[in-house]
Amino acid sequence: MIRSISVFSLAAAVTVFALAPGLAHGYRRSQAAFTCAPYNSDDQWGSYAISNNALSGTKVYACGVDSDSQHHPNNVVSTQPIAIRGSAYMAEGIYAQACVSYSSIVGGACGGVTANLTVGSLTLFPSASAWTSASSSDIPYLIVALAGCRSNGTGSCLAWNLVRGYHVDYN
Amino acid sequence: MATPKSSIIVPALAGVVAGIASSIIFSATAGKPPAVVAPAHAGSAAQSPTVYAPVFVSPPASAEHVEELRTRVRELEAHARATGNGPAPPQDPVAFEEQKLATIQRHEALVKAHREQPVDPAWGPATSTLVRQDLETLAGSSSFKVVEAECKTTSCAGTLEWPNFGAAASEWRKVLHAGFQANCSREVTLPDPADETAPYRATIVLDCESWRAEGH
Repeated sequence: MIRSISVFSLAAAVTVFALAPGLAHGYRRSQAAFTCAPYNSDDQWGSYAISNNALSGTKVYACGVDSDSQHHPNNVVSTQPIAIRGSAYMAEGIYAQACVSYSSIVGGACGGVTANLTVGSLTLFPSASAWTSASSSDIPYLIVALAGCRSNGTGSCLAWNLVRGYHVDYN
Repeated sequence: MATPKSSIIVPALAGVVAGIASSIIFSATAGKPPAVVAPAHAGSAAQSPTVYAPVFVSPPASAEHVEELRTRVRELEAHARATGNGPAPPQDPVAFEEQKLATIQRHEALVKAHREQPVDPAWGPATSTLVRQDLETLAGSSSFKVVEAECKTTSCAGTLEWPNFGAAASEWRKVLHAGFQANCSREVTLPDPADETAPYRATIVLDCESWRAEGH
């Protein structure tokens, strides 16, 4: 009896997993922005997001993108595979760029820079061209730059440019 | 990425059917007398009754079946390699050197394609000016100098010279991440130098096809 149940369960599970499109095929991987590291400046974390809490000066962050032998970003969906979620109080308050570091030599590649044109909650879709032309051993990452905050007139910030995280849609 | 209900229900029903079918098949197999019997414990048959424990043995696979499975495995492995979803590449020195060579060759192919591209007089010179301006601005806060910057029809290349390889290795990302007026994708490699103290040149290649297609 136990064996019958085991066989039934195993066969059912394997079949469902093999046939269900949402499980066996393309999927989305998301990452919170607090894993981003400051690239060349001071850094600010809060509410599981990164924001620039300085009145002046753009802060640049490098954000890791998971990659393994099964799913490398050179095999992402063709339309808007990268989505960076955030909010901005000013146009061009957030810049983003998708890059790879070559694994076997000094060097790398980046797509063009994408900036927000609207304010409020927004999504940036940087080009994945550097990812899609990379080899599966190259190491993908994102560059995110946040412009300084808006002053409340007394030396503190009134509004910020902020990134909460990012999604990558794989084939 | 929401999955419609129907796309879950169909596989679920298929799973139930597969489960029932598998159960029936395995039940039929289990009902047969064991092909091999083995004593459950060692001991004298005269002193205690022999207890037989069933040992499940698969029916012998035919040579055709084995060959069919081998072929299928080879196909799956080939598919995995072709789609880049195969097993992790071996971490051996030969593979590493091959990757390095492939990366250098890919970069050289981009440079060659740029050099062979004709110049579009309506786009090339004007874009060259933008790229040179941006590289010169970066050079102002770096240790490299701009040797050459030229755009053709859909691509640009800038040759930069650092005082030595170490300086290049610490500043190349600055160029890669720069916000160029010509907002093109860009690529650069820094092969190992023959002399680490000698001036070091690297060429950054800009692929402006998308940017130009946007009307620039």
